[in-house]
Amino acid sequence: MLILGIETSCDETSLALIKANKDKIKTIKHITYSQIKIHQPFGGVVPELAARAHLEKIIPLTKKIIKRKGLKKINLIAVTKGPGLMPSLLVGVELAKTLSYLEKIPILGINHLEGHIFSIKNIQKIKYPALSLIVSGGHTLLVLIQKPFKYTQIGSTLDDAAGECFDKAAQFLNLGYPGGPIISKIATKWRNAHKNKKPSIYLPRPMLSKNDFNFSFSGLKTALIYKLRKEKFPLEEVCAEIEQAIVDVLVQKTMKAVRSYNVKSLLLVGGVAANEFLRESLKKQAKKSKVNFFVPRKKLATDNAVMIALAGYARWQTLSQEQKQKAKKHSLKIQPDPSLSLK
Amino acid sequence: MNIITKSPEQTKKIAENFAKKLKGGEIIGLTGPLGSGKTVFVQGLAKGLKIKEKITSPSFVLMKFYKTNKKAVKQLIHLDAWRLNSPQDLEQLGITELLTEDNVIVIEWIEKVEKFFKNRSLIIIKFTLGQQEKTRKISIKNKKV
Repeated sequence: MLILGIETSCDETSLALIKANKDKIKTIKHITYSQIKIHQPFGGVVPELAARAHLEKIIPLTKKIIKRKGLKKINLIAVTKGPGLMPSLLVGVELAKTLSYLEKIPILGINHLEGHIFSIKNIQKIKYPALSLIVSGGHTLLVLIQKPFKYTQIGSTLDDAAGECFDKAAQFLNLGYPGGPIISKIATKWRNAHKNKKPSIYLPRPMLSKNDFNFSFSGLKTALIYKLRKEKFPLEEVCAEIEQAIVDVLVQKTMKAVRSYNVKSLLLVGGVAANEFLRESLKKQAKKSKVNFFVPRKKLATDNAVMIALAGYARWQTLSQEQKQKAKKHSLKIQPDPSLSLK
Repeated sequence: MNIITKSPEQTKKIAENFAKKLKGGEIIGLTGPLGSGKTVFVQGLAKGLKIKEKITSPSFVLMKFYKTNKKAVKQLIHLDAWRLNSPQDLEQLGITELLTEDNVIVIEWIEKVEKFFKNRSLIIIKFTLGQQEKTRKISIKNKKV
């Protein structure tokens, strides 16, 4: 089966083509616009999220990924239905409908958050119940996966997402955008040069009441601002402490949930899953708790269409012939849903 | 109007009372540095408009919609211009169609996109960090056109 994945829920315009034969899946092509941006001269990268910007990119990207004749060979289109920004989602959905119309290809609307779960390579090795921490610039949530496709959200952020906390801290420190990788680089360098030493600045670990799995990161932001108002600290130590504080909160809440729900597997997905320090810290704790740890390759941690195509294929496999016919029939009726939740 | 609040809860209370006076069609711009209480204010507005869902930061997704349970206002649109670069970016979000009498729009980091609203009345709410960690100064101004 040849599946076309389309992801335009927020900033990234991404397309992917995967070839699947039962459990054998191969990525044939994957283009995400931000990869192309890297080669552009640095001039302040603007988040390219408005509809017109997606529109300007999606046609050339589509031409790069499939030729007109190639369209006939596609068996399924998996497109992000939500959650996300409406005008951005619309571009992807309308592209899906246009291509579907041309060659009568069925479309499956995919939940972006479920897509992140499918960014993990050996997903078939997961033992259930599993717990997933989905952490990015726009999302921070803990999802219990009782069995494949059965999700229950058990906690989420009450204010800022973890990735957003990194970005806002970086902006406050005049470090540029996106903040996460920049802070992480400085923090890692400091930690490697000062093993087992604690930074001279202390930031709180915003933890909420014992029995809850929600997160809060806005307090960390305010604490940072007030600390730096009063006193000067070396930038490297500030970065190290910011990263440590964010990772501490994520790890402690996640592991608490792992123990509470007695899960067999732990998944770390979303853009912040590319953070090396978080990956290592959670991996270590998972090993201690004898829980299998799964994390995607860094390239697939941030928003991409490969994960959407993979989720689409997995979902398609669960449909009966009748359901597949129904999906084919209703393909052109798919609408984006900016507030789509994982259920 | 200038108010000093000593906790996020107080900021929310001010916002909740403010929300009760809304008639629909208002465009509210919030301005102030990081951590000054803009999103906390919106959480209070939501309570005043009897919105059930929790309000989280829209910095990444830019725009979130909430249905209210208050008669005059059908929905609250929460926008965050922190990641936008110009007033034109706002146009591409389809904002013009959303400026109706049924909606209340609240925009954080309004200074980034204020020019877009030059022919419209705005309520500008300015947040300032106080000396003490939990203190904030909130000033509300009506910019009538």
